[in-house]
Amino acid sequence: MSEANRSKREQHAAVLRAAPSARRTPRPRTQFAAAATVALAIAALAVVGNLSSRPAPPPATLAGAAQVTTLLQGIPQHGHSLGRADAPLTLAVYVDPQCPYCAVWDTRTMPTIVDRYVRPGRLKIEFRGLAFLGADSLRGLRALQAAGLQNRLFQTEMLLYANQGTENSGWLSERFVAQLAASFPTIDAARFAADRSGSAVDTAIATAQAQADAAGLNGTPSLYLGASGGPLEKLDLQALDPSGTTPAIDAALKAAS
Amino acid sequence: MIRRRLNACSLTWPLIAAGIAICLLTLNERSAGSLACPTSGCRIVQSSAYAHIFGLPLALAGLVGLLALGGLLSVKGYIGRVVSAGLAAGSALFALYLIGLQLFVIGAVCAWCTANDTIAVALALLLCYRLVAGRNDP
Repeated sequence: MSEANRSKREQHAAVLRAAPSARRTPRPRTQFAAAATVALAIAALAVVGNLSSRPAPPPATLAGAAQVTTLLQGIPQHGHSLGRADAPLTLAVYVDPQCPYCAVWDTRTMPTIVDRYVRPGRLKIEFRGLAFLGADSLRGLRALQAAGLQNRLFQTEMLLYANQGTENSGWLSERFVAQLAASFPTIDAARFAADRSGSAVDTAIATAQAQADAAGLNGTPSLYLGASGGPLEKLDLQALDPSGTTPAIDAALKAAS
Repeated sequence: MIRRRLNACSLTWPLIAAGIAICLLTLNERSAGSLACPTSGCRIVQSSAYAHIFGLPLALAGLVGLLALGGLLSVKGYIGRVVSAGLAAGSALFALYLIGLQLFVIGAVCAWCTANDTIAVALALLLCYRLVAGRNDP
């Protein structure tokens, strides 16, 4: 009995002696599982890191950019002025980017005026942008004036009106402004972004507002027509289609000649 | 004898991969022509939207990974074997993902990148074999 006990004790001591090294090395299955976990974690982290490093896609362009570009192709544009500098007549246009009537006038009448009077050099248009319909109007106006610093104000304005949404519904967002600039490859997007908050834009907006205050403006769109360099008279805008504007321009041209 | 060879391979291949990664980084920095790239797709792949990981060039991240692997290979015992095999296997999975991107998403193949990816897969097989072979070692 005691012999058997001694033998068991010796076996137990042998197991205890072997135990520390057995405890140090985990079972093969545990080692493989640990390696697989490390591998999957590293692979997943790497794929996530790779996908998250992709640059953001460029903003999509807005519909109608090609038509606007074609319409204004070859017409001189300088700052907030469209048409030849020596055109006999000047049409000053007061608009707000969110004003729905401005959009109607712009989309229906501007193409006719551009083709009939601006392209032949008989009229130049001066943009006098206002922002009185809310913060989004100011965002849009700053974008238009920034485009003007690159002599791209009028295509930007026409594209904005062609894609106008409901007043103060959030359509004139930062994304929309980015899309507006991205729609014209000739606009330097980085410069456009910097100019939007620049002092030149502040000055342009303040100047237009001062002109509107001096004229006693009470709504948009408001048009002022007259001989270039002389005083401009307010047009009584009876219709937002070309029939509301072209007769006055024809009469002024006849009087000038 | 076999273990010594395994260890030699484990150290040699990362060195080759590191050399290629340095070449790729140089290619990335300088405007290398088609002569430097046998498949003429290196610049396309290197300038693609998938050429970075956490903002770093992939080749630089690969170098960091190889340095880590080198460090792990010098760690004795099962922890070194397990973690190095895990790192190598994870890198190999990522390398397969990158090969897939080249073939099916980017539509261009960068020979140097593919060489590095192949080494990553081979290294993973080697280190997994090393793990299996030494599974009962302390």
